Amino acid sequence: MKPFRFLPVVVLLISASCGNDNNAAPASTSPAVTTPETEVVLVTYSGYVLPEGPAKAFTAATGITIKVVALDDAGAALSRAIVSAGSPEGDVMFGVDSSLLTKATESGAFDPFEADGARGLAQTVRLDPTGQMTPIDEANVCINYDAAWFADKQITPPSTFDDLVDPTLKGLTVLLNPATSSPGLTFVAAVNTAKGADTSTYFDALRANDVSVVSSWSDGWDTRYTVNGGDRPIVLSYASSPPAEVVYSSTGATEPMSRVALGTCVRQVEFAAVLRGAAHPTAARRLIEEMLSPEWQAELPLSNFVFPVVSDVPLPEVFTRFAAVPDDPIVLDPAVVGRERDAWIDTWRNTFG
Amino acid sequence: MNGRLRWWLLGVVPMLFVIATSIIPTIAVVQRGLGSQTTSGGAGSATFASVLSNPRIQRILWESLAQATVATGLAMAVGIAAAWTRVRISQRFGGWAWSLAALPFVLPSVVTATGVRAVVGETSGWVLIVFVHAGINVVIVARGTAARLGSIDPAFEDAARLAGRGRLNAAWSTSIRMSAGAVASSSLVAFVFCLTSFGIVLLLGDPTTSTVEIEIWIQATRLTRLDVAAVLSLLQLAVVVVVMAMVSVIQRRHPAAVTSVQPRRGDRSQRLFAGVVSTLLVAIGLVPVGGIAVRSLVVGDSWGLDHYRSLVAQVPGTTGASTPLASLLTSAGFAVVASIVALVVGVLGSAMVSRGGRAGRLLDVALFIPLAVSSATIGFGFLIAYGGRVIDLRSSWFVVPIIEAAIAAPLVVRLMVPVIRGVPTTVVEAAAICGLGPSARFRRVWAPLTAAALGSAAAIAFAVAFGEFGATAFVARTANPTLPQMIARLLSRPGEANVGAAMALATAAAAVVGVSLVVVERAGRASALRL
Repeated sequence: MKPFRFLPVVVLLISASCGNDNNAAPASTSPAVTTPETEVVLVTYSGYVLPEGPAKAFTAATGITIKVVALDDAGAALSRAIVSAGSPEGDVMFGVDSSLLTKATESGAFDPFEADGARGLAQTVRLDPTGQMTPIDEANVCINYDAAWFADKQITPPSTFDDLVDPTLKGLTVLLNPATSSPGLTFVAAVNTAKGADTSTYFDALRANDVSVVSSWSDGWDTRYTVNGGDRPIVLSYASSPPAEVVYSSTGATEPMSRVALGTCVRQVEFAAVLRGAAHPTAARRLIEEMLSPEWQAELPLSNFVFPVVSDVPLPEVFTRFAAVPDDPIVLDPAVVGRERDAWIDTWRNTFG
Repeated sequence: MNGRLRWWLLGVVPMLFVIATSIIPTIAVVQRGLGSQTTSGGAGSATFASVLSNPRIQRILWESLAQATVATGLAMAVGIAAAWTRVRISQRFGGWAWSLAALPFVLPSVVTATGVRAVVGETSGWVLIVFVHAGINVVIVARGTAARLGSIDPAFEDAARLAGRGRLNAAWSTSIRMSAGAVASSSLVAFVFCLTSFGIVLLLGDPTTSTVEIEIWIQATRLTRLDVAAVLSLLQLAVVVVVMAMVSVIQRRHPAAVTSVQPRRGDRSQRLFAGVVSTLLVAIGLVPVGGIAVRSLVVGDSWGLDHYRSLVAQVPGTTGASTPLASLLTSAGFAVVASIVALVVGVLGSAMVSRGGRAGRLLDVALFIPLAVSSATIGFGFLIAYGGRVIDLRSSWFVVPIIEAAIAAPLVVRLMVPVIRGVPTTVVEAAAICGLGPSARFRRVWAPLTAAALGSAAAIAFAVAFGEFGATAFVARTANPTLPQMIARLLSRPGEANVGAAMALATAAAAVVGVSLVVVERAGRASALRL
């Protein structure tokens, strides 16, 4: 009787360890698809807005429905993809950005795919030598400030990183935790790229200047920013946040209240990739091709407030008028970021808790 | 041998349940993190020594323990006072205050946090977290203490008063000291809840207020450092298991009695004390609920029901039929399934635990493991363990109720064990002598005496399952978000409309949970065995 008592336990343990075979050889050759794929699952982060018009057109043209699975932020979505590499929860992952690029490509969670539409893209966005990541859009992560507030108080607003540690700007800034926020990570990577070994001193100076750190972009922008009723007039956001203000304004404003500190901008490219072991690989590749089509790219500014990567795509007027375009943004080297990311995050967390 | 075998079998189902829901996911995370694979990111594998020697980790460990200790202390102060008041002093609306104080505990942590936010605005930090933790856990200490205090004859206190002691001293040195076991065990349980709290610390804290739970969550789900997450998980598991073993030992030595004494009117200063305590309990219960209710009716600069109308509108940017109301119904449905599973597992488990013996004690501690393991570890571990090619449960709807049941089952056991133990064996034996067989004894003796507690346990299981946030956040499919996920999602979006919808949804959730709790609670008062 005694051995049988443990039999269910043993069975469970064996089956659990059998389930954990994410090291299995990649199923790179999918079996011949005899039935057409009618669904594609897009795994992304929760702030993502699917451009409705192009999505509907895609379904009408191909018969493939797009299902969006949104998970927290880009870092969390990527973690989940890595942990379930080989048996993914979707087909396409959208949202890996320049700061997470090598973490994604070195994880073995994605299949290489070269989209036709990607061949003509500028070298500045084709950052993945392994061919797994397809660039879809780009944006600039920059410090934004409340222009009216600064004009009112007669203080000079910031324009570079060093301005943020200026005593006149003490207690006025909100930054984002790089461990929980993707733009926060991009900012930390940018500072490290620009300042190298002096970064730790800079962070200490930021801390001494009473910078406030919040967990996510919306905690900063929607809650702490003076433009939206908060207490601090400087916040980390995007170069395309001013036009977003106008579009989302509940008071019908026609001019944005924010300006961008152009010296703090860092370019961020967002990528789409096919998940290894996806259930609908053909549909996945078609979706990525579609994302590079002029119709889809033209919708990106007003749906996600990012710039298209395909050239000659018309931009909406609110963008051309109000979106800041830095001449010389900081450019991240994905290989360096990949090597140093953990150490950079640790340095930040050791300073800011 | 036959009888003993039956008791052993009773314990198998709960034990398998604990293994499947908590131990296997933990093993999965530990194996991925500390096994031969290195984590992605190229930073190499951490070891216990390297993680524990990191100054920031040490600070986090210290702060986790400190906040839990201080919060437990506050909860004890209010909880003991509330228990004494409840048992000794009869108040007209004392029952309502007593029920209301349970609200912050049974409400989803997201709802409680949102309500506190609505009242205190944007402050965050340890002081706020400690007070909220204390407020949530007052009910644990209060009810645990009252269960014992209610059977102690007030004559002891009267005698001490006659001997010349002051009121406080008399109560403390007699009744409360005699309930020391109940105070200790319930306080230790409150300590565990404060230590392993996830939703409150996440939503009311900021990057400087990090506990072990939050750190595990960040390391596993953001930084994909499963090695660090595994080390911290095992550490937390060890601490909580030790504490729960202490609780088990104490509860075995100090069983709750089921007789209760009548409260009296008390003299003037006792009534004043009782009034203050009851007011405090009402405040604890109504602050979060009041916060969300009031905020949900604020539309622009005036009042309105717009936010409630938006409960049936689709949330922009999501596909599928995910309206806020749908998430409430989804959560309710999951919670019903989870409650049934939790009751089955919990009743079987409590039957075995109350039986006594070494196996019973082991099961008692083991059943608490789902609460000891970090939410992130359970959630992520589920993905790893059950997401392979042989077993892929990730897209199964059953996963969410199973995890919720794992969290709720220990509470069912905690509630049922004292009641089962408290059924006087003399009554059972008398029934046997009168000729009743086992099933008749169950129907005529056990069931009526434990029915009220079972109803209470069912309500608590439903509430806890309904509000689970943490582990279910990792396994729930975003096409059918749970209510806590939907509230968190709405709060993370810009615009007053979204915040208002979150408040309205939170209020609706509070109504659902509050009504079910108060109804069951008041109905159960009819039985003389209930306090």
